[in-house]
Parts: sequence; C-alpha cells; structure tokens
Amino acid sequence: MSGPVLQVRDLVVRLSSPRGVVQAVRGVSFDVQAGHTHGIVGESGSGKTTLLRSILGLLPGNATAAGAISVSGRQVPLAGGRTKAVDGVSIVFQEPMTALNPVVRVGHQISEAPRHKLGLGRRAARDRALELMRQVGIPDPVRRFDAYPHELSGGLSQRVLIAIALSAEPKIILCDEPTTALDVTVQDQILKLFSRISEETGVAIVYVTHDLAVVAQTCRTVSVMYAGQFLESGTIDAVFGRSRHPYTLGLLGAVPDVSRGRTPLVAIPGSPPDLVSPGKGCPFLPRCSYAREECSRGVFSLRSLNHHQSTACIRSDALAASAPTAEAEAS
Amino acid sequence: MALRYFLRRLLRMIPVILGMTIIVFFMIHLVPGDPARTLLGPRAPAEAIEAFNLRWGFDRPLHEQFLSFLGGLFQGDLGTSMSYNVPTTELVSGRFTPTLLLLGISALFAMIISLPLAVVAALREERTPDHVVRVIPMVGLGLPAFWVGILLLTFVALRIDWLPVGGYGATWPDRLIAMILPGLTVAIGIAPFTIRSLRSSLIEVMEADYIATARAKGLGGVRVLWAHGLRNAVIPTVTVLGVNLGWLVGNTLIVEKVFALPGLGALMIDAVLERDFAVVQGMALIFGLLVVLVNLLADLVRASLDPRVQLS
Amino acid sequence: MSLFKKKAAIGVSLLLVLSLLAAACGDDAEEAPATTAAAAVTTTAAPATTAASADEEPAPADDDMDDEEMPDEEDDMADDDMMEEDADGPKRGGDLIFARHRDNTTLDPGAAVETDTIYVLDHIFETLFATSADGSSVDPWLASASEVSEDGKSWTVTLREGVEFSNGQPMTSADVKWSIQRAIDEAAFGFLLSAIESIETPDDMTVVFNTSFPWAPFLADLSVWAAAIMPADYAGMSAEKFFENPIGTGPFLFDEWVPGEYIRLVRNDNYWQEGKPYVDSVTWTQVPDDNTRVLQLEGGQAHIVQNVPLNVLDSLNEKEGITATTFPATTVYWVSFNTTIEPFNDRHVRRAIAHAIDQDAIANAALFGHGGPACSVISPAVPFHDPDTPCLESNMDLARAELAQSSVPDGFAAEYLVGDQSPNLPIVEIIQGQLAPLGIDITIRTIDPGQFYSTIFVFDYEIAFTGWTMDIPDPDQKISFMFDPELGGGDSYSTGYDNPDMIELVRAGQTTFADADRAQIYSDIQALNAEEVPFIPLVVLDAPFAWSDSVKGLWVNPVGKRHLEDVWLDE
Repeated sequence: MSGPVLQVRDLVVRLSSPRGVVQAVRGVSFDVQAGHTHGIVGESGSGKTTLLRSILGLLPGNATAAGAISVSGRQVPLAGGRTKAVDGVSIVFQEPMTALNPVVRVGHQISEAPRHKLGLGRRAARDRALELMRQVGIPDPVRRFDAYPHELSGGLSQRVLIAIALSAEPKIILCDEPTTALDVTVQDQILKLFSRISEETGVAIVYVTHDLAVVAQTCRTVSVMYAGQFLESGTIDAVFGRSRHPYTLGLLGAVPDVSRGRTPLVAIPGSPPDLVSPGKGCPFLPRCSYAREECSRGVFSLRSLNHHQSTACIRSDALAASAPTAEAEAS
Repeated sequence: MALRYFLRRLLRMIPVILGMTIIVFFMIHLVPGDPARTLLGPRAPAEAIEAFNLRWGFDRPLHEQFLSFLGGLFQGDLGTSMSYNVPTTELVSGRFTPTLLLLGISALFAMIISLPLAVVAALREERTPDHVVRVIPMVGLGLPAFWVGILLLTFVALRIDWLPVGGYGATWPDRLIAMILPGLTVAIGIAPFTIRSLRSSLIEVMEADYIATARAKGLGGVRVLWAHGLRNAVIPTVTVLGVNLGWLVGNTLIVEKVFALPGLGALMIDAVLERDFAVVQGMALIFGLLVVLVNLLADLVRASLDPRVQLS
Repeated sequence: MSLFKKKAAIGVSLLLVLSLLAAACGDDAEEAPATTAAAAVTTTAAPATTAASADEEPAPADDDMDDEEMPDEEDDMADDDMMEEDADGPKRGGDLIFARHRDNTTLDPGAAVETDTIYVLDHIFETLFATSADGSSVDPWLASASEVSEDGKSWTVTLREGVEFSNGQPMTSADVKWSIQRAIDEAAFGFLLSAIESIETPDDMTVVFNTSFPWAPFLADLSVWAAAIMPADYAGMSAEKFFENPIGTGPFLFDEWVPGEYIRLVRNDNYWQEGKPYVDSVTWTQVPDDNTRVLQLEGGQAHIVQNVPLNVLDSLNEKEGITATTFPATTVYWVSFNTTIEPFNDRHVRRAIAHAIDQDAIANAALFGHGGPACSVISPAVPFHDPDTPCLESNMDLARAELAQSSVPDGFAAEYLVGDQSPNLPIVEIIQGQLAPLGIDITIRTIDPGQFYSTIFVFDYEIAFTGWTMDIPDPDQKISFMFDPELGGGDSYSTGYDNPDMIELVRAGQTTFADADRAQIYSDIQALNAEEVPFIPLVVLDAPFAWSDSVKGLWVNPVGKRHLEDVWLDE
C-alpha cells in the first residue's frame, strides 16, 4: 500500500449561522492507512460531525472550507452545498432508525448503490445486496431483503446500514457513533463486525465517538478532538496509556473502567469555548488544572512527541511527570 | 387487508352518514319554501298545487314523511326526484362518475403542479425561486374557480382544437380529455396548499439522516431527491390533499357548472333551489360518502407510500 | 329590429308563402301552418323583410335576463342569412347542436312544467293549434279548421289529413279525445283545459269539444303543450313504457337522453310536413354556465345557444360567423303591491310610485339596450296588447303631487321583496334610488327563490318584484290571474287587488268572441291598470339567442317555441 488512503491537511471549516460564523473545524490534519481503524474522540459540538461531512464532500450550504482532503489520492471538493458524496467514502450513522429510509425496503436500500452507481443489473444488484447482507451477518437475507426498517431490530438495522456503507465499494467507512443506540451485547457484535470487515476488505475505518471504550476496543490510532481542533493524536496505547494532554487525561479519568465496555463521557468541569469567538491560546485553558500563564498565548497545534504520539499541550513534559496513574490504569 | 380495512371504515361511517342524512332531511323540510309553488310556478292554480302535494305526500305531517323516508332509506330507496320524476338513486349515481373523475384528475394535476414547484422551492430555500414559488400560488388561491375556468376556456380551449369547450365525452378517452381543463382549474385551487405542504416537508426530509446515508452511497442528487426525499415528503402532502379535496368539493361544483360537466354540481344547485327534497337528501348522502371516500383513499395511498402506517 | 318590422315582414312572407303553397299543394294550402310559412320565408321573402324595415316604429325590445324566462319570440332572422339562403334552398342533413342552461326533466308533456323541457317536447309531440310566428294569433296545426257554435259552448275541430304518428299509425279523433282527456285529468297544466265539459268524436276526422260556459280563449288553451296529441292508450303500452320512447306526430323522434348531459332527437322521416325536418338530428346539450355556452358557440361546439348574457350580446354579434340577437318574448316585469295593507291600499301611493319610476332608465341601465320600457301589463308580443295604454308619466313633480294627496304625504319606509341572486336585483336597486327623493325609504329584502312565491302568496310582503311569461297566445290566463281575485285563483297575483269594474272586464274578455270587441275589453283592462296601478309595468324582455352562420332558418315565436324542423345547416 503506497501512502494513506485518507489524508486530511490543515482543514478549516467555517459555518455561517444567525449568531455569526462558527469555526467548526480549526486546522485538523491526519492520515488513515488502508485497513486501519482510526478513532476520533470528542464531546458533542467538538466539530466531529462537520469533519465527517468534509470527508464525504457533503458540507452544508452555509459552509466554507480551506485546507485539503484526499481519498486514495483524489482531492475531495470542499465546496458547501454539494449533494453528492465523493467516491470511495461511505458513512454509518449513529441511529439506525433514522439513518434508514423508512419507506424503502432494506434490500433496495442496499442494492441501490450497486444498481445505480456501480451500474449492475437489477438481478446482479440484488445478488450483491444479499451477499452484503450475509457478509454483515444478517440471518435469512432473502426474507429480510423485503423488510422495511421498522420491522428490524436495532442491531439488524445497524448491520443493514453497514451493508449499505459497504455497497458502494468504499475505501473508507466513516462511523458516526455507530453503536451508541445499541445495547451492550449487540454493540459488541457490531464492533467485531467492523473489525472483521476491515480485515477482510482492507477498508479504512474512521470511527467517531465519545465512547473511549469503543475506541480502545476497535481502533489502532486515535485523535482527541476538542473545539474544532485535535488536541492529541497517536496510537491507542500511546494516547490512552501515556496521554500527554490534560483533556485526554480528563476523559480517561472519567472512565471508571475501560474494560467494562460502554461508558458515558462524564463531563469535565466547565464547558467548551464558544466557537463563534474561541479566543486565543489553548482552547482547553479555561478548564485545565495544569494551565500556566503561557497557555493563553499563541497558536496551539499538534506537535509530534515521537512516532506514536503528538499533542497540542505545551506542558506535555510536565504532564508526563505528574500523570502516571492514567498510564497504569490504561495498560 | 386493505379491502377489509376499507370495508370496516365504510361500515363505521354508516351512522355518521345516516345522522347527516337525517339532519339534512329536517333542515330542508323545515326551511321555508314550497316545492309545489316553486316547480309549478305562480301560474299554477290551487288545485294543481294541492294535487302535487298529495302526490308527493307533502300533505302528511313531517314526522310521517320522515318515517317513510327512513323506511325507504333502509331499503336503499332515497325517494323520487320531483323535478325529474325518477328515483334519486338513479339520478345521483349517474352523476357520480364525472365528479369522481374530476376529483381524481384534479388530485393528479395538483401533484403534478406541486412536485416540481415544491422541489425548486425546497432546494432553493429562502432564495429567489423559493420566494417566487411561495407567492405565485397564493395569487391562484385568490382567483375564484369559475374565473380560472373561463380563462382556460377562452385562452386554451378555444385555441386548441382537440380540447372541448366544456362538455363531457361519450367515450372514455374523450372524457379524460374533457377533464383536462376542469382538472387543471381545481388543481390550481388546491396547488397552493399542496405546494406549501410539500415544500416544508421536503425541506425537513432533506435534513434527515437517511438522506445523508443515501448521498453517502454516492448517488446522484436527482436519484436521492426522487427515491428518498420525495417519497417521504409526499406522505404528509397526501393527507393535506385529501383534506383539501374534501373541502374543495364545493369548488368542484362550480367548476362542473363552468365546464358543463354532468356531475353532481348542477344537479345539486337546481335541487336546492327547487326544494327537490329527495335529491337534496341523496346529495347529502353522496357528498358525505365522497368526503369519506376521498379521505379513505388518501389513507390508502398513504399506507401504500408509508409501510409504517398500519391499516387497522 | 323592431317588432313592427317583424310583423310586417312576416305578414308579407305569409302571403307570399301561402300563395306558393297554394300553387304547389292544392287543398292543403289554406291550412298551411304559419310556421311552414315562416320557414319558407327563408327562400322567398328576403326582399319583403328588407322592404318592411322602412316603417319601423319604436316597440319594446326586450330581453331575457332571467333564466326562467323562456318565451322567446318568433322569427326574424338576420337579413343576410336570408340572402344567403336564397341561393340553393335548404340543405338536408347535419347534426344540430343546441346548447342551453338546463336539461329536460321529463319526456311527458303532461308532467312538464319547465319551459326548456317543453321546448324539446314540442318537437316530439304537437298540438291541434299553435301560436303563429309573430304570436298574434292561434293557427290550426294538427287541426285544419275549427268552428264555434252560436252559443259559444261547442267547438267543432276538423283534423288535418295525412298526419301519422311516428309509428305509422294515422292520427284520428279517438287519439285526440284520449289525449285531451288525459291532459285534463293528469297534466300539471291541464287546468287550462278545465272549461271542457265533454268531448265527442262524430267521425275519425272531427272532434267536438263542449265547454261548460262560453270560453273565448279556447283555441289558445288547446295550443298549450300539455294538450299534446299522442296515440290513444299510449298505443297499447303502459305510460311508463310509452315515455321511455315516446310516439308523437312531431318532426323528430326521441333518440337518447343522458340526464344532465344531453337529449338527442333524430329526424322523423314520416313527418307530415313534406321534406321536413332538414337536419338529421338535434342534440340539446346542457351547458349551465352562460359564458361557457357562448364560448362553445365560438369554438364551434354548439350551433345555437340560448340565454346569452345581454351584456355580451352586441360584442358577440360583431364576431365573424356569429349572429347574436333577441327574439321578442312575452315576459313583462312589474312592481306589485300588497294592496291589503297600508299604505299600498291607497291608490295615490301606488300612483306616486308609478310617477317616480323611470322605465327608460331601467331599460337602459339593466338590460344593456336589449329590453324595452313597459307601459302595459300585456307584452307587445301578445295578442290584444294596446300600444296606446295611457301610462302614468315619469315625472317627480307629479309623483310628489300624488303623494301629497295620499295618507303618507311625507313618505314612508317599505320592504321590497326580490329573489335572492336574481338577475333583476339591479332593477330593484335602481327603483330604490328613484323612490328616495319622494321620501320613500326602500329596504331590499332578498329571499331564496324557493321561498319567493310561497312568501308572497301568504301576503308576507309589502312590495315585490314579479312578472309573467305567457304559456299560450291569449292574455286571459294571465289577466284573470292578475285581476280576478276569485276565479283567477291567485288573489290577484297576491296583490289582493279587488276592483269590481276590473273583474267585470276580465270576465267579459273570457266570453266575448269577436276579436274587435275583445281587443276593446283588453284595452280597457290595460288602461284601468295604468290608472290604478296595482301593478307598475317596468320592462318587457326579449329572448337572447346566438347562432353560427351555418344555421339557417332559425326562428322562435313569442311563447318560446322553436320550430327546428325549419332549420337547416349549411356547413
């Protein structure tokens, strides 16, 4: 494999709103290799969803973007208001009930891309859909082909969504909190499914969630997103085991036991900055217990600590000394 | 399933329609006005009036007339038209088809008009096309149906050879052609409602997750709009259409008059003016049925469009 | 075109045609019905019409604003039509489409009460006598002659030779007796024949009617549609069966009726008027909307339309290929008073109102130049109309002077009753304005047409807008209804007007047989009404029609009868 399948460079996205211009994404860069799974962790409002839409090439009409995204070496158009996703990227949404068209049979939703995008015949598209349904573990696909979404359980619906995501033969699947709505056992199955698919097909997966446990279970690398920026990035082991950012540490501290599975993100005291006027300096500054005077000046972007890890915190060295517990717990 | 639902709904409407018919019976009989005098004119002598009243049983007390009306009703007999001297059922059933056809074609045209306009408006929300689409149909709303009808007759029918200037055809193809302009007239009356409904639900639908899912499949915008957007957005509009069609039955009557369609309209107007009791009662029944039928049809269409709707 | 001119034209035409027929047909000639004559005018009489236009005299033109007014009038075809028709004579064939606002309600002349129904049935069934083209007389039709006994109580009617029903059965006196008896017994308008005491049939071609009293309007009564001649005993069928496919002597046969849509008649090849009718079929279509009817004519979908809105008549006539005009009709509208209550029992009040009303202004404003002011209660198109009726002059000074002598010299407030959505509402509003200077404060009270008559018939009104359209060409039916509270059967048309002098005149009119004497009686009646004004005549109406230039020979007599057997198509 030559180079990353997804490359995001210095992505800036602004959304105009009645309140003013929201700086939703503020200079994000990352790569994902084919067959890898990358997690993006963040609270709601951190810019995750806008980031995903940028990658899909489906920025809303009120968006202006700068920077560059390429998928398999092809530039993704960043104009707002486009209605057609770029080739090679699919998405799986959080709520299977709302992400599936309620009035179209699921089989047709799966066979739609093969038929209308890949140009297969009706018969072939149906066969392809059945095959995908089998691949994502839907039992009795022939019968389920004609079902409507409301006739399926949440888990099955999510599998259908995954089948849909696979149906256009993507290079990358974006997952937007794909398991949040599911109960724990189903969630586990779905996560395993993602892993299997990634292995079998070599598709890259970008996994967006606020659930650290999910990321820890499925991803090879992770980025922590906050206020439109990445505050820390690196391998799972590095970021979760030896975090060099107070925000990540805060998140990890809010996780009683990663191994116990699904855990809601407990709020860190304070609230994220208003992205209409985020101010200068480190965005986490107001909530940071490690903050120093110098944290309120300059631009904070990721800098590499080593091969496996980069952080935006200028006091990462001090952190390394004072936060051994997180390391211990994560490992 | 659908048939059983249909029948059940009809059965449930029977008491409602029955009640309505009874109310109409008393209303039309208690409103002052003398059918004998109206039909026979001022020239008729008292003996003729008496003979007329005797013949139609108007000399009997109202409660007796009502009982015999009820008795007939349960045997499917709505009485006999005084002006036409034929059974009301026969008279009314003959007029049912054109009105039903007109309603159907109007609904079709309303959708045909609404779809492109609502789509343009929704996709260009708050921009010029949207404003234009939102204002122009409102103008149509202000135009009375008979005026639109006359305009269409004058400027379209007179200039296009194959379009009749009013009238109904003898064959089905002719009848369908004859329905084009009247259908359009009614549709112009309903379109403002359906466009508004379709536009707002389309705007809502296009924000939905499944639209993003569909777009993420890499499908073209038209395909997404058609197969995913409109299919969902149309569902609430069908209900709006059904409600308005029922309401616009009144409009249909005027349109029938302008286009000389042998529907229920002309019959109804004459019957009320002439106090043709049996016909007025028959019409009340038929209009009740029509409104129920239209709503039922709207439900069935909605059910066929939306698998989540259970017919039960 | 003035009425006088029409009369002159028809008179001359009649002479010409009669002489032609006399030459052509021998015996039958002198009984040739007026209609035949009028139709034949189309081929021969054009010069006469043109010539006659010289001696015009102002006569009411009228108009029909009201859907209920049917009577339209006689002949008078546009001059250029006649010229064209000169060329080759009538052509046979074609399917005539006649658009009207209402459909038939029945095929039974006995049940028919509504004029549009009657005008169609007139083409299936015929009567012994018929209104002449100009409405001035009653002529033999299925009869060939009639004679009244000295005592005026026995009428001997000779039937026309060679008349057959459409099933081939010859018409005999037995059929006539049966038909007239049926009309008396069953027809809604059988009351017009109630003078008949017995009917005798001395031979196949003679019928003798004995009346219980001398009855001058008798022949006119026999011309009413209800007295249609049909085969005795419904030709052996049940009444129901018979009227599914009726058999008559008329020029057309019933073909198809789709209620609410159209009724179609086809040519009766067996018709007794040789060579007629010309068209293969006539289809009356129902087109309720006035504008649509006109558009259908313009679009070539109808050949003839009736009840053309008066305000478009002139502009329609300007259009290429279309003639739009009116035929004289018998409808007169008037103000009527409830003379049983104050102050309308005071003739000074009624006379003051009559002086204040300006009929010319009403005719101009409300009838778009197609109606005429009315002076007499008898329309100019009806026999015994007196053009010299001494009407009260429109003059406010006279009105004030008259009111000053009344019980309410300073004016009063009154309600004026008119049918809801009546096309005549504008007329009422004009009168409201005209009476205001007298201190008469009129409130217009509109009422559902279905309640109108039942309201005035119980005297629940003060002033009302009413009128009359003739069924037969004789004034008695209407005059007795208006002025004879007892025998007329309508409390003097619900005015309660009760004047012994007037009643005496009305009854004299019924029993006086000599035309000149009757004319004097009816002149006296018209003058007495003008003096006492229980009814203030306002306007007389014409019947507006329009037709395409391909239609030749259309004429409508004042009681509204259309003789479509005389119409041909040049397409």
